[in-house]
Amino acid sequence: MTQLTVYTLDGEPVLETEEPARIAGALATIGVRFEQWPSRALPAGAAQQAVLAAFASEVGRLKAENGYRAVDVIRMTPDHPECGTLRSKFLSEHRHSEDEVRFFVEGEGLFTLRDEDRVYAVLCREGDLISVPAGMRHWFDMGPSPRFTAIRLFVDPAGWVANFTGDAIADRFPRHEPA
Amino acid sequence: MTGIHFAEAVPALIAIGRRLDARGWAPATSGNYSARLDDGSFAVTVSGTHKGRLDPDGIMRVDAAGQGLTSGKPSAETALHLALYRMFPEAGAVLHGHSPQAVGLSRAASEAGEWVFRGHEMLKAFPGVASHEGEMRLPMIDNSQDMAEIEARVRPALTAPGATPAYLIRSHGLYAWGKDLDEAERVLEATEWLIAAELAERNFRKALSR
Repeated sequence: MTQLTVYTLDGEPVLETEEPARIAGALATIGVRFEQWPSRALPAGAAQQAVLAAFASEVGRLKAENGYRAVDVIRMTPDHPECGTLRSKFLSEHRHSEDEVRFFVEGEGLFTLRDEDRVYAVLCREGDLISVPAGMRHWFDMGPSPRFTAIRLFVDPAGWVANFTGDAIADRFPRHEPA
Repeated sequence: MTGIHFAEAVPALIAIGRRLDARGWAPATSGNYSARLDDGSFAVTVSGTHKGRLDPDGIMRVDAAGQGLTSGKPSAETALHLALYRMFPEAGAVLHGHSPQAVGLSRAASEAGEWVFRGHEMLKAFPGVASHEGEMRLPMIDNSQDMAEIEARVRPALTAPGATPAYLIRSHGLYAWGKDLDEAERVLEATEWLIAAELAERNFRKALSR
């Protein structure tokens, strides 16, 4: 199940829910879009084209609504030679000048978002769309044994660079360590 | 039996209609208002009238089942008012506004089941809230032409501990209630203000981040 835990900045949990409408509600309040798209039957390891074709209507809607011009599919598996490096790349608090839009076709990942006085940890799973607005402080953990396929949408892929804040806040919150 | 006399309710509802219309929360024939009466019946606005230009003919009496006791066709949403009076025996008045901000919020946050307001001084306007350091959860539910369906969907959120005396129907607007008309109007006004304030904040943040 997808899960949201909301913490104070001191790390005290104030809300924990697996209810999609409550997750969407709490995230909408801080300007983050969360949706669940109906799953499609896709063969394991389906090519980018097949994945995009399966979700063409939802992807088309997001592009029309927000002016995203580029779409791709990223796949991460535990045997990826650089999975350790890739995991560590986004573990510290950072921002992007672009929205970070991810739809989880399969697998999972932990987005942790920081608002004024709350931290929102969203464990995204298959079927979840999350859109973190440009400028929002956050970090992402794919876990020690990463496995996910995600559709990414961009206005300009070249602009998608992590600007690290230098704040060590991410070290004070739970990492993604599935049992 | 609590509640006010019909003769008192009529001018009070007319005055509320003018005030809510002046704020832009009752355009065209939208909105509907009601009050619990001292004989166990209810005063409700009739269907299809402009709420900023109500006259005494625009207010009628219905019984607890929604049957008209005076002439006129009660508002199509009378069932939602009566559901709230059943759920909350202490409620004396129910107001439904149709502001662009409330409707806009409910449509933009299309998957959200609630909107959470935090840290606003205005939270103190809600009955039983003494500090701004709390959260107010405003339930949001999908619209339907079936009033019983709306009632069934929203009931769990409204009867949860610490629930707000207001909820938002998607594409349709706010329902707010209170022990009397004054309190219901205060809840509606405070909720509308919170929505407008967060919209303004969002716009400023966007403008300043460029």
